[in-house]
This record gives sequence, structure tokens and C-alpha cells, in this order.
Amino acid sequence: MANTLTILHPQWRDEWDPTNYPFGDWATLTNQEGAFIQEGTFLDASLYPVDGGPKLRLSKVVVADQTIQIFIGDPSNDELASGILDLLNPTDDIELTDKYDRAAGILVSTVERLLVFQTWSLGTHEFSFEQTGFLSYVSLPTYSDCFKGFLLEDGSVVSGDIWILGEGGVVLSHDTLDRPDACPPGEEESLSEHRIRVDIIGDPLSLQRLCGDDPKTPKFLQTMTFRRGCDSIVSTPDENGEIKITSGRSDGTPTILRIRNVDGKLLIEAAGGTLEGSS
Amino acid sequence: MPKDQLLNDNAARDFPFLKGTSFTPFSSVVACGFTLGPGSGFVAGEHNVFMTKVMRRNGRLWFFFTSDAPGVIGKYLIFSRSEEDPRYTLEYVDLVDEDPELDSISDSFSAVNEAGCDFSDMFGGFLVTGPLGELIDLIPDEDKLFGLSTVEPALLQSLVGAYGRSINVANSDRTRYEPPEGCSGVSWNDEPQPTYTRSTCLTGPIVFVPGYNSIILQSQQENSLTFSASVAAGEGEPCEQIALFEGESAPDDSQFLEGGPGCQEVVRSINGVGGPVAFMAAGQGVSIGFDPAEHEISVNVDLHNMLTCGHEFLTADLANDECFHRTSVSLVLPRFTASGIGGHGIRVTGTGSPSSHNLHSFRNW
Repeated sequence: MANTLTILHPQWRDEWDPTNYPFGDWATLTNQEGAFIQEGTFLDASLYPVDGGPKLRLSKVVVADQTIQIFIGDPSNDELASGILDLLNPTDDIELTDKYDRAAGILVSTVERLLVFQTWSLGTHEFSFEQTGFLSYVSLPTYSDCFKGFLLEDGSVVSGDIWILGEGGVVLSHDTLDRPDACPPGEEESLSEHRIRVDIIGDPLSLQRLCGDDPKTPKFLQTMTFRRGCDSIVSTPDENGEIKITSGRSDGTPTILRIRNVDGKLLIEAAGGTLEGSS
Repeated sequence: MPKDQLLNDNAARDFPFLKGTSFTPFSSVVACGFTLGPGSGFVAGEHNVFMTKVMRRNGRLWFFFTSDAPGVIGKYLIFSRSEEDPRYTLEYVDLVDEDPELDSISDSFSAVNEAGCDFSDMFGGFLVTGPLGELIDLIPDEDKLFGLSTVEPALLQSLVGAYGRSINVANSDRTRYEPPEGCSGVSWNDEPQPTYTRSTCLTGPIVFVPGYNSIILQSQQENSLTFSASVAAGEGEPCEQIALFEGESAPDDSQFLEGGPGCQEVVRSINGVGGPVAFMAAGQGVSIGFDPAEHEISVNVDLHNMLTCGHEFLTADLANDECFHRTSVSLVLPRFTASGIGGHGIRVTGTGSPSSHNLHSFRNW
């Protein structure tokens, strides 16, 4: 009878290395095409995709020339989260994120174990829950019925401590409104709602801002000083920005001076005959 | 696996720490788990959680945990045990701001995020300790044990991006008037800032209210909010400027919050001849001279080459002095400007109320 050496208290990873863990005992680890994930390829896992349901599984392995992408899914979504193994710069652990780049978990392994995926054929290899279902032990609950963030038009998500910033002619303000009517019957605590007001008023100097860091502000003409002799009158524009110059005499008698707008030019001239015209 | 069996096994191995990183007896810590919340900056696979110190004083043991995630560097989770606690005692704690000595440890701790909000979800966790006898034998009373035990990465949960924790409201600075080169600056009543915070740490029900020229649509079906602009929508058009922050006021030398002259404060046309460049032409009997350096235009009605019946036009005031018939103006008039930002039909209208400026007519030239 051969003697066998048994370690009474193996280290955590050593204990689970030869087992299906973190996959379930029922998992075959082989899909219909024959793609096989050997026991010990993954040493541990922690899965917490946002909106993830029960029965999480390794749903897909996408093998490309330089990357291996591993997807986590549930019965309703095959692509809840994914992580990438860069074959040119492999790491021991694979960080999982969802399509909005939110943290979704980690697959614990070693580079040597992960490089086995290089032997797989290029393309997508899909798995069912019966083949690669994870133990519930490695699936952590996440918040479900809560405000998770704002999904913006560009596909990004803002979450956590969210700053809403008004700019470019949009001004935000905030006040609080008590809503005792919104309280459930029997609850004494009043409910307050935060009201964020959005005023869109434009940015009068927007052209200056669009000029960048070195705007050239024109020197606007703000007054015209008219001098006659040593008398001077400072004139400012009317409500339309207009200054009018007319000719005439204070006693109302006619004058030969003419000031006219001719083809967009201010023409100043004297009326009368010329020497050339009379000769 | 039965819970006690798992804990019994862990009391004889590094777990929950990485193999070879324990600096306390294996039996001291038999299970733990941590969550790193919004603002921690934790990235799975890149950052870790460590146990760095164990202290013993007055019949109690204190276990210090920290992380190299950028949002919680230098901050600690501190678990405490009585030396008499039974094995497999479980405790949950939240973040402690700094590394406190024993005297400053209290029962309630708080963490403050960038916006000054007091939240307890930045860094939290639980610890299960095993039999503490070996550890007590190792650390004399009033002493500490230092090390760097790395928690297994699968025992960490990152909640970065998992939920919206608070709403904070601010406004960027308005585009402010830049005086022309060579002119004196604007005397702002409030030092301009890049942004002005209106409110922080808003939680609970949030309502978006359409203000001036504003439309907010909520779709229950798509669970979406759409913000758009339309002239006179919402609260209509404003009759006065809207402050970016409470108490904002216009500089002393302007009627506008952004500073600068108003439309009625600049010359935009002369006798209907508009800017930005107004042309003046001398017709018969008149000559016009320019002195750009002095911003002067001289209009001389000299009647040259014209038939005259006398010399009264030329001689009436000639004897006064050299100031005769001189007009001082600059040459550039402002454009008629209407502009908007955002591409949503925002119309920027002229601001300020019409005034009864003098309509000057100059006669008796």
C-alpha cells in the first residue's frame, strides 16, 4: 500500500485548485463544441455586475489574435460584464466591467493558467449555465431598486457623487420644497424634495469665449465729441445705437451744407455751383 | 461547506489573506470581506486591501485595515475585540478618516467625500476573528504589531459606479467681458471663479424644474429625461439677468453681470451708416482730414472750387482759434450681434432697457 501525503490544512487556493471552484460542482466546463475550461484555470472569483440576476455563468470566451475576452452573463443577458486578457501583457487577475465601465467583479487566476486560452481556436465560444455556472458563493448582491446613475446620449454613465454643471448660458439653481402631502398616511416625518431649476438664458459674450484664450475685444465707439471752435459736445448713441448728424442753422434759415447717407457712406458736401460748371 | 468548518480551516492557513502575507497567527483572522464605495477609486485587480497593524491595550485588541485605492489612502477600518471575546466573533465597521491612536478611537466615525458630504459607504467591511490566545501571547500589552497582510482579491467588492449617491449642483463661470488691449480692467465685485457651487449632497427625491426658455420632458416608457431650449418656453423669457450664485452683482462700471457696455452704450450707426466700419466721404466744397493717432476727423467746409457770393461761410468763425470744425471719433463701430450657444434655438436677445438718450442734432455749422 503506497503512502500518500495529505496536507491537513491546505492554503485556500491550493485547496480549490483541483476542483470546479469557482464554478458549481454540476458544471461540465465543456461546451457543445468541445471547448474545455480545465479545473484550476480560475482559482477564485467575485462577481457583482450591476443588474445581475441569479445563475451567473461564464457565458462567452472570445479569442482574438492578441486578446482573450471573457464574458459573464445571466439567463437574461449574455454580456452583463466582461474582462480582457491581453496576451502581450497578461495579468494574474481579470477585472470585470460592464458596458458602461462599471466595476463588475474579478476572476482570480495566474498568467500561466490563463494562457491556456491561447490554444483555443479564434472566434466566440459560448457556454450555458449547466456548463459554466458559478457558485452562488462568488456572486455578491448589488443594489437593485435604487438610482444607479444617469445614462447620457454618448453612452456613458455618471454615478456616485454626481455633479450637474450649468454652463454656456444654462444656469442651475436649487431649492427645497417640503411636501407633507407626499408622506404616507401615518408617517409624521415630512418629505422634502430637492428642486433643481434649469434656466436657459444664453451667453451674451459667447463669441468671445469661442475665440479661445486670447479674445480680441474690439474698442467700441461709445461717444462722439463734436467741436466747434473751442466748444465741444459729447454725444452718446440713442437706444438704437444711432447718432444723427444733420445740417442747419439755429435760426432756421437754409444752409448749403448737406449730410446724407449715400450707398452706405456718410457724404458731407456743400450745395451749389462749381467754378467748372459756370465757366 | 458548514460555516464553522470553513472557519476552522481558515484558522490554520493564511486565508483570508494571500498565501505568505500573514503577520499574525493564522487563527487571529479567519474571515473578512470589504466593500469599496463610490469615490474610493478602487479598481479590482489593481488595488488591494491590507491589514497593516494590530494593537493591544487594556484588555482589547485593535485590527487596522486600509487600502491603496486612491480615495481611501491613509484611511482605516478599525475592528476591536475584547481579549475575552469568543472565537468567530463577527463585527462590521465603516471608514475612519485617519490613522488614530487608541485614545482617539470612538464608536462613531464618518467619512467626507470631495463635495463635503458625510457618507459612510466609502469603505466598509466585516471581520471574523478566531481564537485570540496566540495573538495575545505575541503582543505584549500596550504594544503593536506591524505588517502587510494582503486580503484575497475575491473578498473585495467594488461599488464604484454601482449607484448614484448624491447630486451636486454648480454653474460654470459666465463669459466675462475682457477689456480691449490697453484699457483698464473690470472691477468685479466678486472674484471670478471657474465654477460656483450651488448645492451639494442632495439625496432623496429630486425634481427638475423648467425655468426660462427651458423644456424638460420625462418619458416613463424610456425612463428618460430630455432637456431642451425654446424661446419663451418654461417660465418664459427673463426680464433681468440670472445670477450664477446668490448675491452676484454687476461690476460698478457696467449694468451687466458679465461686464462690458450695453448695445445702447456703443455707437452702431451714424445717420443710418452702420458698422463695423463706417465710411465718410467728402463731397463738393468739403474736405475731410484724419488723424488716427488722435482719433480725430476734421471736416472742413471750405467751399473750394465753388461759386460763392461772399466769404461769410469761411470767415465767420475762423478767427476764433485752431479748434475750428474738428470732430473727434474713432473709426470702428460694433457689429450688430445676436448669437447663441447650444444649438437648441437659444436666442440671446439684447439686454438692458431702452433709455432716453439724447438724439443729437447739430445745427449751425
